[in-house]
Amino acid sequence: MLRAENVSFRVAGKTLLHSASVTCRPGEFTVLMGPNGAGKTTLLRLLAGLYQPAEGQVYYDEKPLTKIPVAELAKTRAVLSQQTQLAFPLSVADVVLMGRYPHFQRSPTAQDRAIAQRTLAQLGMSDFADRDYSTLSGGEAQKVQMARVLAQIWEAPAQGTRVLLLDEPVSSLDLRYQHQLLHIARDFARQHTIVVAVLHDINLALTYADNLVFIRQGRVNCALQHPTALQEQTLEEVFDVPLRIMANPLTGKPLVMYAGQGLG
Amino acid sequence: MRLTTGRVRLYFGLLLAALLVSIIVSARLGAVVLTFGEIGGYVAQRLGLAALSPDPVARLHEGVFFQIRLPRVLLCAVVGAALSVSGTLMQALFRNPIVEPGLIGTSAGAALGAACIFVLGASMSWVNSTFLGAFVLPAAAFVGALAATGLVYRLSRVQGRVTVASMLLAGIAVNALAAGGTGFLAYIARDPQARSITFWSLGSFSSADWPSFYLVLTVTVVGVGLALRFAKALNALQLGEDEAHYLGVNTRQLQTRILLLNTLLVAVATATVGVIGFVGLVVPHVLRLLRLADNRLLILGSSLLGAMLMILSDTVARTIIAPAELPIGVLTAFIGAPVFLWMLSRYQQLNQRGGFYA
Repeated sequence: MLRAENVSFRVAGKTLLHSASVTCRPGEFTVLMGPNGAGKTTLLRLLAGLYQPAEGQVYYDEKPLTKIPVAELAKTRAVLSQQTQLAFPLSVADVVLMGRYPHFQRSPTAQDRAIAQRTLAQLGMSDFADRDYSTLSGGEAQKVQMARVLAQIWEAPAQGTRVLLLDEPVSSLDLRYQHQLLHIARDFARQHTIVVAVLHDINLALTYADNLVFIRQGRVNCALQHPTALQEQTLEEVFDVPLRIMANPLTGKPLVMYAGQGLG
Repeated sequence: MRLTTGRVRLYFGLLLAALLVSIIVSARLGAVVLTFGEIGGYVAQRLGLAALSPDPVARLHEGVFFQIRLPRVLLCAVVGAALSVSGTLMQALFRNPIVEPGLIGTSAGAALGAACIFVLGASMSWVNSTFLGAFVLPAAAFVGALAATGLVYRLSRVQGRVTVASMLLAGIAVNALAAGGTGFLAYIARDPQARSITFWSLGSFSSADWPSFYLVLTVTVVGVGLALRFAKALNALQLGEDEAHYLGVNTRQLQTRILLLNTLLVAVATATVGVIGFVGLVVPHVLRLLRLADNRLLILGSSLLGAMLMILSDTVARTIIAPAELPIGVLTAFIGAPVFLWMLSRYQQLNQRGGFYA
């Protein structure tokens, strides 16, 4: 279980997150949503242990996150950031293999290489293994980073749960790979992993999420257990856009429709 | 794009062979040109394989070889290795291919620290008379280099990222400050000290002897050994500080350790032979053009290539205007500065397209 308890975070006197509490359980895919600058990435970074909360505490399997050494944490917790730029040229295969860094001392084992190849294949990027990372398009780079992140926590640990944190993982992907990637993420959740993602597309979130957490102006607005319990009023409050919730004719799941500004 | 293991072995084999050849060729050339036969004979004599020659000219040449030529060539090798490895470490730490100990104040800081000892140390008699004296100069250089590098590193980081512009500006300011300090010391110094400061701020291997070689050798071997231990973490740092943290790297600790290690390498080299710029810039760059990317290979490759280039530069510096000697720092600046300018222009053009070597 990954649990943020009344966490606040400040930068240069500005409070980015006010006493936020979130509980993420293994087996569930939690999606953080909210307007730009609401504090989604901040909350994700607090959950990742990159930031230290000014107040409150994040617990990972009931241990305070701050008490776990970073090298230890890296074996079971992987994070996909919004953008990753390399300082020097590296091949795609080398970038993915970096995901195995927490698991080997000096040189990657055959097992490490096999895992890196499998995750690259899973994202449909095997043909790019020898390409220079810096020549990839935004979407290709995002898939390679996802492969690296998956390689990091590919194997289930003997004890405890894995954590997969994704910050806008589909922002540069085409429709097919948006679904492919979220499908992979949800599969990971089903294998007793805690999966938390920041998403902007409400309908993608409703399709794949088990939990929705809405953040607005640095406060957790409401945490819903099931997307089916979602109210139109809640969404309109969070995003400030008039909309309707209907049933997706293909799945029966909720589908958000909106008219667009100045058009309806 | 990716290097095969065979290709890497080939590169390192060639580097090692080229280094050995340059050591022998360089040891041959100079005011007294020795033949390969003579050098072979002296080495055989030292190893007890041949009888000592009674010929006085041969004895003189042997003295030239063992007391002047060989320590100088070997000192060039270890200084070149130290400066190049330092350049590699700094580039990995700053995540930037145009960082060099001379550009970010490390060398100038070391020079200022050492100049303090040149001028002020004369009034401290224990500096010259005790065993500790041998370490005072490198220690002062270390303190100066650490202060300068730390300052530039702090000033050039904007919200956790190093921008080229802020780094170069901070480097200019700190270099100017350190150079001003060194200039002031040279001004207040009595004449012989002043000359040694000036001479030494351009770099020279002319004072090479065995003790200085052993000192730099020890530091370089320890430094390269430690650098190799940090190589994996430095690779992870290429993805960015946050990503390195997520991969289990304690980035704060790594930064401190790399800065200290780099300062140690540069300070000891600078305290021994003066300021020699651009070696740390050019050497890792050449290796990256060969598609070496793993910092482990870059560190090892830099030490071999850096050693070789420094030997060749010094050979040119001491033969081109013989019997006079060109300060080595002048020569490396003539070669390195145009390379730096070229890299800078490429960096400006290609930065927008997302890759320096793209």
